[in-house]
Amino acid sequence: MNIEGRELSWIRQHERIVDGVTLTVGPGETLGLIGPNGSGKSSLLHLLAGLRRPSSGRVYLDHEPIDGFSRRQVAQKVALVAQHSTTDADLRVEEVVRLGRIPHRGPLQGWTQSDVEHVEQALVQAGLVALRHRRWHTLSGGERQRTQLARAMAQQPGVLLLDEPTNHLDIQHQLDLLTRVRALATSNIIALHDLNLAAMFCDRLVVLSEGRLVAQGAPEDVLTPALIWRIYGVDAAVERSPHHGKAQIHYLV
Amino acid sequence: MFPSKSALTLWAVFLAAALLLCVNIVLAASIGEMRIPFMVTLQSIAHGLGVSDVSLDPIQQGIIWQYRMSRALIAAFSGAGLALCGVVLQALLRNALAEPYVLGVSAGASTGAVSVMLLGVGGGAIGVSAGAFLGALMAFAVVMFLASGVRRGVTRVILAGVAAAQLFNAITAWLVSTSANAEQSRSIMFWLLGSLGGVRWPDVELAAIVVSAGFVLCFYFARTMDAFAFGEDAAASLGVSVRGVRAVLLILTALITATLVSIVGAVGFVGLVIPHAARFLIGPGHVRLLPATALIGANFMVLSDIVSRVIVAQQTLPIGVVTALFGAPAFALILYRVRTEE
Repeated sequence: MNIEGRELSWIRQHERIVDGVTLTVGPGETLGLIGPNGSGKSSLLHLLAGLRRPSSGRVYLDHEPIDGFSRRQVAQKVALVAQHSTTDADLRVEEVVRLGRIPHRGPLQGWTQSDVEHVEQALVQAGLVALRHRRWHTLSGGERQRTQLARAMAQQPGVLLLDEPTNHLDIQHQLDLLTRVRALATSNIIALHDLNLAAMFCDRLVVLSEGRLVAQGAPEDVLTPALIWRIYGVDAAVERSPHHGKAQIHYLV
Repeated sequence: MFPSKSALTLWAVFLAAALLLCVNIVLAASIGEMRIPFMVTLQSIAHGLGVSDVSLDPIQQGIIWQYRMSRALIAAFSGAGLALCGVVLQALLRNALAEPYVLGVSAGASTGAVSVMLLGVGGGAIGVSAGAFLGALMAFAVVMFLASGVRRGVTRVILAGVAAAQLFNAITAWLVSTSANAEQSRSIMFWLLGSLGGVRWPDVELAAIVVSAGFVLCFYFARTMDAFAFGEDAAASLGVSVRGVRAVLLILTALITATLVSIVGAVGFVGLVIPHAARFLIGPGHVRLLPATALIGANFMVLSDIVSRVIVAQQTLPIGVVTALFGAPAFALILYRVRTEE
């Protein structure tokens, strides 16, 4: 599925949080969203997910304006994994994943074979089959994020939006989660802090600063010492990794 | 939504709770100041239901059917309705302590009802129930206004509820002390604590209609309430129209609370304790939780009513006193558990 944001702006309390951003992600492509804290990454994802209405500009799903779809139709096409999910309900992993079927079911409709299959598939994709009966409150941060990923996959989305999904995870779980996301057939937009992970796992990067899109392109074209200095005020050297061939950033302090 | 317990266990629980409710209602009808043989109680109920025409002592029949039966049924419907409000509010506000009494909605409804009773607000055009409904909506508005602006407002909502309850209770006390005569203020203060005294069949009909209709509407939104488990944004990204659903369900809980307050007064803690008990028994999925909560709530209230009538000889305690005696420790327990989980 194709998702496109055209001239998106979002103003909150007279402050321009997102300022005229235009971006597009094609089928199966993974776009990395990078930029400092408060650069508008989360807000942009919320606009793209249709959770906030842009002050100006529009979001298109497969070239159709998102406002033409009902909330439920959008939820069948776009799934969001938040930065940090909390609940006080005593849910099991499987029960959380089942929530992803809500957009596909009528209010009183029973549990169908198709629902069962998509939940199973999502559990496999997220590597949660062995954990399916575990309680949410007993899960580690990495397991929780994988559960949310599985819930999102159970929605059968064409577009997957992830808001700093690797925050607070150890490196093993960061790599595991991003590898799993890459293995999916969805179009993905991932907000990331770690530039090396962004270079490794994304086909393309978009750089945000103060709500504006300041650069976009392939990771090796975007992640230059000059840009890193301009955006983060950090000295860096960038080289191509001899091991995986992707851009590798060395911070110089 | 969440088939974690087997369907058989589930139906067994529902069936047991429904049977228990019938037994408790008959029990409630058989207990009272005037001793009436149990067989006569059964015959009177059968007569009242129109399935028997055995000739009975009209006084005994009248006491059983007109007084005790209507009282027991009101207890059942208010227990079910208040517990239902608790589940809905806990799901929507994502707050384990949310319920109409704690949030001050009952207090608002009381103020509305008292305004109509004592001041004749609305000039007779609106009844006590309608006054209570307006009061309840006002209390919701106050709570939401006080709690707004903070996204992570779990404790904030409860504090806002405390403030709203204090405010509306003060207004009610003011109205009562300035506008009521001694007899009125005595009966109003008794009713405010929650009292099943003096309810009659028309009250039963009103409660039955509002609670049943409310249940059907809540059940329609059962899965939607599941979607709120991870918050409003998560619900919206699962396709829920958060604003619309929230408005419909908050108004519905205000309506149920107001109706029940106008009949039995502000009975606290039923809405708080029962949903937790039901969740403990059958899990968090609302498709099962809603009927279970309603059934357990009904049982709890009928039993509380029996306790309120027998615990002190020759006297009937306000039912709100009994539910609070159970509910306040449970509130503390839940508060403690919420704290440790955070």
